Amino acid sequence: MANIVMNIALGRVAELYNRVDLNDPANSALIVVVLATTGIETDAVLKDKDDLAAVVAGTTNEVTNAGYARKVLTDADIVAFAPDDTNDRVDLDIPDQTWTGVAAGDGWNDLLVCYDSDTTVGTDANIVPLTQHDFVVVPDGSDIVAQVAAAGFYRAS
Amino acid sequence: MYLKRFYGPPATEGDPPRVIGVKMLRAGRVQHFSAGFLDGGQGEGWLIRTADAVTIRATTGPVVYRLIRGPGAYCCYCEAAIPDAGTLLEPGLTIGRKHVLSQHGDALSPDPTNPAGYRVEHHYTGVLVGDTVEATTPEEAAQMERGVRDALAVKLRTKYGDTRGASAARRALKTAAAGGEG
Repeated sequence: MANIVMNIALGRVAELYNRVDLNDPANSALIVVVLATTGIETDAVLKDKDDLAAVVAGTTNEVTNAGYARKVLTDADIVAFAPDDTNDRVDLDIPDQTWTGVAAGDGWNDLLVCYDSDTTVGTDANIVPLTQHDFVVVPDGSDIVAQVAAAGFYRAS
Repeated sequence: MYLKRFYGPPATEGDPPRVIGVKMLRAGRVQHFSAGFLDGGQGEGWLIRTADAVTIRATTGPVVYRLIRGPGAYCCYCEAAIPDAGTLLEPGLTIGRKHVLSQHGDALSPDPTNPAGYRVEHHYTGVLVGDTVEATTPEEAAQMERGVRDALAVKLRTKYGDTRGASAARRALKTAAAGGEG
């Protein structure tokens, strides 16, 4: 489950996730971004950032290792939006993610799950950060797997 | 995919209500199924899985996905399965990367989200075929799924360009804007 939820996403994560599953707007997606260890700001600082451009505007940086690219998760990747009426909650899940052949370079510190309303246009200023998760890895050329908890990356209740 | 679960009384008093069926509110053309989802659906009795298909026995009728691929590592150029792709042969060179370099050179990866040229999938990939798996051939289903992936790749290339250096380029711009400090 999420280590922190960005303030801009409070009360919105489940609906933005559902938007991607609905394909409404068309081309919407969840974007998984990795933040570097060097220069990373505190959770208290990052929690206030309202878009991805703002997240990396200070000393915080996205990693630049060869082999790294942002993961783009579309409606096909969202297994099932299925509210749990027994426990009165909604668990939001995404598949485990693997970055293949990631070269040494930046150390990895956190994963951001973001919402992009249009994967064809726009900039990082149009991408909304939803949740941030601890993910400390030192790349060495091998594959890197982000294993998502069985219950998912976020629970709305 | 959007499912509505229906609940019945528990099998044993004191247990939570049990799922007695599902309604399919939305089914996408291509769907990735986690092992957990498949096991859960089978356990609750509303999903049947065979070697080549997943059938969701929804209250509105069966919804069938033809399975075209299981979990594993695949080449983004030739789609070949690459066993043990993540194993390091030497520092900085995995089995998967060796396959890419030896078979396809260092050309731009067809998949912008996997610049190394091979990808690892943790899911089963299914293509919606209606209410019977005979509605499409495995080749047709695979072609449809490839079309969806290719379309996404085109969109991402339009937006990000060559993702191999995209994040480094963004940081260079940021450093330049800060007057070289950053």
